[in-house]
Formats: sequence, structure tokens, C-alpha cells
Amino acid sequence: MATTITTMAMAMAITTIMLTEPALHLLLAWTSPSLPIGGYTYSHGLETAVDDGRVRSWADLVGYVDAVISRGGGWVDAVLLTQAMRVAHDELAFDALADLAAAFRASSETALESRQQGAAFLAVVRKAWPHPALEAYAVRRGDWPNAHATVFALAAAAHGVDESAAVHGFLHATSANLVSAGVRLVPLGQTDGQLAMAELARRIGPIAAAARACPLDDLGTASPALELCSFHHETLYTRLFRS
Amino acid sequence: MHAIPAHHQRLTGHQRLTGLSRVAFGADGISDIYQKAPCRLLFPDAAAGEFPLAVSLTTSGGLTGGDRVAVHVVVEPGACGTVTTQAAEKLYRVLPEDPDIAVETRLAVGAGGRCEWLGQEAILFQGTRLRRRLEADVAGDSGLLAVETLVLGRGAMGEAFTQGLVHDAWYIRRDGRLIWADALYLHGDGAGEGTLSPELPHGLGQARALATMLYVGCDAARHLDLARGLAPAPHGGATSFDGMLLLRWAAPEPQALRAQVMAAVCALRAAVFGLAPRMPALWTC
Repeated sequence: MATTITTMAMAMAITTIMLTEPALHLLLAWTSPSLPIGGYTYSHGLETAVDDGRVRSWADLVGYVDAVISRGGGWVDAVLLTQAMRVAHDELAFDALADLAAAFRASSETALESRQQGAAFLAVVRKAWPHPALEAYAVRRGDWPNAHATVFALAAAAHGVDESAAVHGFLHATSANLVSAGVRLVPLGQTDGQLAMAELARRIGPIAAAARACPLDDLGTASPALELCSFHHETLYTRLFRS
Repeated sequence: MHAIPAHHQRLTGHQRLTGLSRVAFGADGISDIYQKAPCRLLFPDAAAGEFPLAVSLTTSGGLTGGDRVAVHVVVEPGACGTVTTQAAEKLYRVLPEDPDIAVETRLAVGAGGRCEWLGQEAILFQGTRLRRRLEADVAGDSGLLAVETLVLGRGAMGEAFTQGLVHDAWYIRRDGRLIWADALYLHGDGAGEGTLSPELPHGLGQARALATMLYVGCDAARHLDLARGLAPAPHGGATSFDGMLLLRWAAPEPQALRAQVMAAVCALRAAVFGLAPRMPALWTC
């Protein structure tokens, strides 16, 4: 398929990411499934696609996750994360992006998915990795919802995590969470899950580069089928996941 | 196959157009209008029991590269108004050196106001590049029902929309704060690359028409079951959050989608505004 070939060709251009040791540890901790923000309870509509037979194999799972991160909700998050990191020092500009990210939600359940994880992320990072920028933001923000991507961006910028590393980390974590959901839902063997992650890791490079180059004026999704998956998840007869 | 060469798709000429229509609805009906060609407003008598009605049209017979048009609707506090477009809008091929077409819709609904924005289809000709933006500012206790539809290519002429661009963005603010943002970004190079490709997993697939219908109002969540029935799977769906009700379709047949959109408008305007379950006459003639 044409798109796969392009992705593979672009993946040949491998970039080097520079990270200090402390920043590496922050990023690993903030993208780990052990971070207590409840990521394991969300499938971003994948449960619908498994239920109706569209996702049956690890290759199908790669197709679903690729759609999320290259032109669905994960893509929107990646673009907004980079834009937010660039203006993290500017309260007005950052808060406008935080508003945009919190509002840029396709459905009731994907809104819950991002905002509940955003609230939990902010709470746990304020405790374990405190920083004045996070405290000031939490006070300004009050009860208004937070997207996971922009509080992640603020924490990353405050603690000196490189932008490229942060985007890669966020996309990797999003992918790993959905692969884990897919392994449980289909179900797939643990090795199949890692085959999916290995393939997705090859695709994340060009997606992260494109997200960092995407102007806000071009931000948008191209995944109507994913949105309908999420809508239809609300009425699935049995559900393991909250989205 | 094209009877009219690409650079002459709009016969009225190739000069770039910048148009604006503005209409305000007050307690006694239409309270203010402004029109700059090619945007025009018509005010047919609304049927008894209907909101005052304004019809928006562009006199150029379609839009092409460099054209910019805007419609601004104001519903004053306590007032009500319906604005519909006169017919489907044609978005012609945009030459590579020309700027993208820009279409802007701004809706402002004051406290206790009620507003309908009923856009008919935007038909994307092969090679068009459209940037469309709908912005609504609503007061917390007002009601807004808005719908827009995109048709990808002139299917009846055997034309697929494989080359071009559409960026279709919605921004909804309530009491000044952004509550919903959404944007579709589809592009293609005509040779299968880009997000217009039907081959992409969980993308457009066989969809040839996309519709978004939004109701913003305190009672939005109460109508979710109704909305789900109006936008059934597999081509439609509905959700509700943050005082909004959202219905979406990605359907293979534009005519069949039009019928579903009309049925949904009729049912929702009856449920949320207590209006008769019928469309403005222009939709059916």
C-alpha cells in the first residue's frame, strides 16, 4: 500500500535525540503504564473495532493505532503537545493551547479519556516532580478540564525534556496503551503485542516529525471511522473499557 | 469529461471575490443586515410558528481560488432566528498558484436566544482547496442547532475527489470559553497519496459525504437517545458531552445522507425548540 511504503521510506531518515539522564528518567516514568493515571481503562474506540471484527490480528491492531496517532486523536495530541511546549514560558499562549486541547475532543468517552488522565497526570507530577510552573498553572486552571497532552507538555518543558523526545514518548505511550488494550480484547499473544509495538515504533519517527512541522492552521483529523467507533462504543452491550 | 475547462468553471470571471453577509435577529425579527457581493441575503416569509428566516446565498454561482466569503449571524438576547443556505455551494477547482478558498461562518447567540444554522451541502469539485471555519459564541442558556455537509466530488458525473484539500474547522465557545474544537483535514494528490485515499484503515473508506450536526444547549444530554436513532450505525453516530449533542455521518451516498440529515434536523428542532418538524422550503424545492 502506498502509504506504508512512504512511511517506511521516511523512516530511513533516523534522527538522534539528545537527553540528559534525569530527563530520560522523567520521560520513562511519565510514559510508563505504572504511572497511576488509569490509561489501562481506555481503548479509544478500539473495543468497538474488535467487537465488530475489524481488528482481529496484530497487523489490524497496527492499522488502528496508526490511524489514531497519524490522523486521529493521537495526532491532534502530538501537534498540540509540541505547540504547547514551545510556548510553555508564556502563560497566555500556553493557556489558550490548553483550552484548545481540552476542547478538541471527538466524543464523550475520548474527552473523558484525555481529561481524566490529564487531571491525574497533573496531580501526580505535582507531588513527585514538583515545579513552580506546574503549581502556577494548577492555580490558574482551577476546575477547568485539562487534556493529557498539554499537561504532559508543561511538565516536560518545565523539567527540560527535549521536545522531540517528549513527542516520541507521548506517541509511544499512546501506542503501547492501545496495543495493551488490543492484546486483551482480541485477544492476542504477548509476542504479537510486541510485534505490533515494533512496527509502530518504526512509524512513530515520521509521525512525530510531521506533528512537529504541522502548523496549527493545518491541524485536523482524517479518521471519521475512528470517531464513529468511539460513538458506537457508548452503546456496546458489554464493555471492558471506558472508551 | 469536464464540459467546462478547469480555469473557466465559474463563468462569471476569475477575479477574486471577498463577500460578507451579516444578519441580526432581534425581538421583532430581523434587526440589522449588511451585504457585500457575492454574498446576499433573502428574507422569505417564514411559515407561522417558525423563527424569522434568512436565506444566505452567493451570487457568483460557486467559489474558486482566492475567494473569501463570510456569513455572520447575530441572535440578540431572547430573540430567535433561522438561517439557511439557498442551495448547495459549489467549490470549484483551485489552480495551483491561487490561494485556497476561505469560507467563514460566525454565529453569536445571546442569552436566552435560539438559533438554527442549516447549511446545505458544500460540493467539493476535484482539485478544489477549501478552508472553512465555523465559530459560534453562545450564551449559557441559549440554544444553537447547526448542521453542515461536505460532498466529496460530483459522484453523479463519475468524479471522485482524490486531489485537493479540505480543512473544515468548528470552534464553539460558551460564555466566552472554548468548549468544543474540531477539524477535518483531508488532502490528496490525485495519485492515491494523502488522507483522501479510500484505502487508509479507519479513514474515509467509501464515504462520499460527511455531515456534522451540533446542538448546544442546557438540555443537550436529554436528547441523546433521540440523536442515536437519527444517526444510526454504520454510517452515523451520536454523542453528548459538556452541554452539547453531536451527530456525525460518513456515508457513501450523498442523497441518502441528505435525507437522514433532513430527518434529523426536523426531529431535533421539534425536540429542542418546539418547532414544526419540517425544513425551510428551500431544502425541498
